[in-house]
Amino acid sequence: MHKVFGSNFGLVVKLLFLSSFTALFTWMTYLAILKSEWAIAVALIVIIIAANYIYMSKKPVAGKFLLPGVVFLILFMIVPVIYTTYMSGFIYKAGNIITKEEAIHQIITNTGMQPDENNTTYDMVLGTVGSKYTAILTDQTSHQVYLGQDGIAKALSAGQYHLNADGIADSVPGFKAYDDNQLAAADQQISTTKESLGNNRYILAQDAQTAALFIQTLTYNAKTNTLLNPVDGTVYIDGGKGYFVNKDDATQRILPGWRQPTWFSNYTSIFTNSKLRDPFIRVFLWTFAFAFITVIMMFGVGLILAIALDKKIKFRNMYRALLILPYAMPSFMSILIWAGMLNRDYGSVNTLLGHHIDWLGQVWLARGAVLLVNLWLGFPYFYLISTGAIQALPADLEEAAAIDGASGPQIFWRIKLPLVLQILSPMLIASFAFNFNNFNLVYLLTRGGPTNVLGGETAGGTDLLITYAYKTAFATNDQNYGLASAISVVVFVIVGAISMWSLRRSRVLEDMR
Amino acid sequence: MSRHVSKRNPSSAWRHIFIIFMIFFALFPIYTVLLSSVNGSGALATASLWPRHIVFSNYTKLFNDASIPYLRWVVNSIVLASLNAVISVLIGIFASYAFSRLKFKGRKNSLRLLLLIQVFPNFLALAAIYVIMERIYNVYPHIGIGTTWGLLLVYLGGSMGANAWLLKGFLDSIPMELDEAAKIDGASPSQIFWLIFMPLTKPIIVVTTLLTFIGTFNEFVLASIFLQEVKARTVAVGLESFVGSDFGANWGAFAAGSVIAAIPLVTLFLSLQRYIVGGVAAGSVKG
Amino acid sequence: MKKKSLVGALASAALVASAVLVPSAHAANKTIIVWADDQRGPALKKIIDGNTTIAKGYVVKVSTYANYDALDGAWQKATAASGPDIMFNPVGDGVRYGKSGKVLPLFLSSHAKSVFSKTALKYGQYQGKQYALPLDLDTTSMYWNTKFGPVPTTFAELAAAFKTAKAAGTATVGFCAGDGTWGALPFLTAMGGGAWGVKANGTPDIAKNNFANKALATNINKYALGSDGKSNGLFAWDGWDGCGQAWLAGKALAINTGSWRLDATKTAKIAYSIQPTPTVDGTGLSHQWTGFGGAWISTFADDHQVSVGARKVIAYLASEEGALAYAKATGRPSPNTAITSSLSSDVQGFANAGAKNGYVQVDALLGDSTGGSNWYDVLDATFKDIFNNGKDALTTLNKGAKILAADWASGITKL
Repeated sequence: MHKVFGSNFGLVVKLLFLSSFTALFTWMTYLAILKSEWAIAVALIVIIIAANYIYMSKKPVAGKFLLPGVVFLILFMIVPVIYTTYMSGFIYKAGNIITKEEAIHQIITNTGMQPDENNTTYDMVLGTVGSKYTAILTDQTSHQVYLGQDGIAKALSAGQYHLNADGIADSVPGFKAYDDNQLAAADQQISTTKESLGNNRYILAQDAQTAALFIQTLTYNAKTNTLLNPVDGTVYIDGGKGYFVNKDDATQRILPGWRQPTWFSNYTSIFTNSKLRDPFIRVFLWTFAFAFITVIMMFGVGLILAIALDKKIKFRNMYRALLILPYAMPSFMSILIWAGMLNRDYGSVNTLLGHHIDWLGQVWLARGAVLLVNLWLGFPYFYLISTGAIQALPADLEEAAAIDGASGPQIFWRIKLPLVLQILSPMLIASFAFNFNNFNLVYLLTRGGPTNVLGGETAGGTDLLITYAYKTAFATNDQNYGLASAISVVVFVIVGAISMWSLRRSRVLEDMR
Repeated sequence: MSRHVSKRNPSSAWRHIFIIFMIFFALFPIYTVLLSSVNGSGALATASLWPRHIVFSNYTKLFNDASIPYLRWVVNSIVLASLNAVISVLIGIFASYAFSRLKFKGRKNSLRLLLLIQVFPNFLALAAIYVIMERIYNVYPHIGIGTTWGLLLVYLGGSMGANAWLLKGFLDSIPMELDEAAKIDGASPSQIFWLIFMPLTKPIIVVTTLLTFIGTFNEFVLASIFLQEVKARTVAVGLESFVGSDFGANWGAFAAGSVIAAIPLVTLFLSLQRYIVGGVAAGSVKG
Repeated sequence: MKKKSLVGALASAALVASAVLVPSAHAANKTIIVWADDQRGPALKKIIDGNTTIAKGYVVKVSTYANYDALDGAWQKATAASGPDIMFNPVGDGVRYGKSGKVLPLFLSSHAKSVFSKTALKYGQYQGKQYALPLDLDTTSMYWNTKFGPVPTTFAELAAAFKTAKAAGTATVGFCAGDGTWGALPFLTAMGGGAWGVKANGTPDIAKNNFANKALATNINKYALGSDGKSNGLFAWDGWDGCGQAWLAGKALAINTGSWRLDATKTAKIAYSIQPTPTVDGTGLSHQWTGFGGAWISTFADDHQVSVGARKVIAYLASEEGALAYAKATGRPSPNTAITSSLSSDVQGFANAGAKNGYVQVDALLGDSTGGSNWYDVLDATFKDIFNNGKDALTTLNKGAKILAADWASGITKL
């Protein structure tokens, strides 16, 4: 039985898995190629080859176990980190979101197309003459009729077209009008209909029945990378900051702009722009203090509980079940509930205390509240791991120490606590790193506030680096993804360095088996 | 593991006082949410700490109001959380087996890298993840942005970092002699893994699966960005919308929705309590 | 080894072949994707979702976002791959949207131009082109609980009525800003203060900063503060979850909020009357923000080759039939003046209030935080200092005015 399972049956299962996997991914690669998404196609091909090689050959045993995790890790963790770093090198914010090609297209077809001064509009009938796409256009005021074909609008004289009851030209000899389905199918053709009247004047379709007269006020010259206004001769050059600007006056921008590579300017602005830099230091200190204090508090309470429940006291099982309830509750709900409970006007905490305290409105109270709520969320976990650590201490430790003449408190402080700390240090460090970036807690509880708004401050009393970065980037009028990415990278470097340093100190990595 | 009962501990009164105080602290918010869920005014208003008129309108609203597809949200969350829990624990146990038992080049450095990547909150890379998922959507609309499957893929990206360390700690505690003996009997690493390790790791698998399930159920930031349509939301995103908007916070519906969503989680948690206590504790010791 | 590879290769080949041979899902109708927030989405679901007749050859699909921020966030990041063809968002975003290069100019018939409110159209314009079609009017008015007597004609009367009611224990709040700081402008303007000035042509005059003035400070001291220098309860700005609940419990004399609170008020069986907030001495007008929700066509509609269809949908919404369906589904007044008479009298009341004393909500000014914080946060901080912390009204208002001046100076350059 064992043998069968091990060789043949296992092989069949493996083959079945691998071949359907290969088939599926090959098919997906094919779809990616159809859409010209080369990056996806290449990634898939690499995965297919790697999987087939690793699972078919005998050699890379570890690879067999690591591959699925590594693939996900690379695609959805490492690639985003790299991409974030890449984005931090761009001017990438509201007004500079699209690519340069898209921006030029927008400028030519939209910004640089101004309606003529009379707002001339045309009734339009679309169809074909022979196989040629044709627009019959009737000027709504002058009633002049044009035939739009091949990008040119040709004036027709009476008798060359047929007028319907509303006085709109609806046919010319050989013309076949589109029905609704043909119009829908020709959507792109209609929306790009542009018939020249000469002299930079164009009739553009506005919907399937109407067109309007526009004057081309900007043209693009790819060779010189400039824009020209053919009406007044103004030249606009690429100003290097993601916009075309007037050659003689750099403050005159043509919109929209595009995302422009800028190397390190997002990073330097974090440290040189006083509006960003000054709160940064204060927020950094609080972030550090918060992460440190909250871990100490959670660990302290958890440890005391673990000691209190270590002995076989009455109701132990019931106590334990009730104490770990906060751990079982969905935390986002708990935080929002706490936010409501701490509300000055209708919160149950004030009802309970019979006071009218603005818990989330005063800086130090709010900081206390953040710590308190996080204690609520986290102490059960620390209680559990402390219990584990205490139970792992050698059973004869206490007796040996007592024989040596140590008192109860001495045994605890000198012997047990250091051992427990040593055992739990990776957990404490992980918890520190987690709380350093505890976005949910702060954002859902206080939104980073309270902020001394009238004092002109932008960072709130409980803002962590991560919520501050989020606010800076997204909660302002021009959403600045480039800057947000730069702050993300800085936060990542700080947290990573702290974690690596403390792990090195705690010798976790060296002790690894 | 024999725990001896200390002789030098005449009074356990302080223990009871401290524990009861902590229990009160732990239960107060839970009591508040229960109270608000049966309060008809729709506010988290608790003018008194005792219920005056108990009404169930908040609960019935969740199931009768066509604009609140509450059941869909619950189903979405459960599907997403279960899939993520099962797949990511599998990935984690594979990886931790390799890290714990197999010798390969760059093992230590990979572990270090894993640890470092773990502290990178992937929501910091939100904008980047968004762009990547959009391109995927472009080719495969069913697993890109806006879909539960797309969100699952992003969650799985963090699975190795999240679980491999805890699991490796547990695997490390399984005596080497066991697999060495099997190796001598001629078993391949795959056979050792499936036939020896999987059964032995059952308790830790239960724990990590449950914790991952709860973690996914809780996840808010990514889900709120990814799941655009009302009926595609998870419970977390759906419920937040009751109280997160500037106008018209509806604490009553939020509280009722929270109670319903929390009951299965808490029940599951408490019924598997034995495993969790053991598993988390074991992880702490060996991690 | 060979056998294994063969199996894999065969299976792959079969699947690839099937993928190529199965004709790509035949799209009978092209899909027009519409994005909206949690307020408009459900209404649009009722009137245009799944529709195939407004634009023949197309089908409309509505996606609803959790809230405005989620919608705006997704829109900011959207690209042609997953972006919408039609977008519902505040018309006040006209400038920001126009600048982004992600929206297409609209073509409105001359009839549509004549029946839509000029102000509403204006804020959907950028560099002389119309980008947004305004569809709903977001404005507020004062609901008065008639059990507290006849509607006061001055804010001073309202304050006196509150004093009596408070002494009798029948009221805890006098005047509630039911939508938080956004809804607090009527209080400021009724008491002699306000925001920026307005030029004769309707554009903002930021040189005139009405936020801080002696009259406002004096009136706040006289009517809204108690002997301890803190709020006496006359004015509350903690929004629907705060003083709004007092209103529903019949414990507030008045609430300033929009048509979106009609249902809740009726359900709570409050006897109400709707009219503008009276000024402190009954002369002049109080003001409230008036915003417009509207529809945009994105450049993605071109990429998806549905822009002609999208324009048909917009034309339908601009027509009387479409505007009426939309107004009935959302329960909000419409900027389309041709349908006003077909709406309920309460909703009409809001439309009239908006036309008479609404101040256009210029988001570029309100949302700017160059001075440190934006209008909403400054207002909240100012009220907290005056009403909760008992700080001197005029000094506090002046601090706020300074920040706002910097915000507006920066915001006006972006118009």
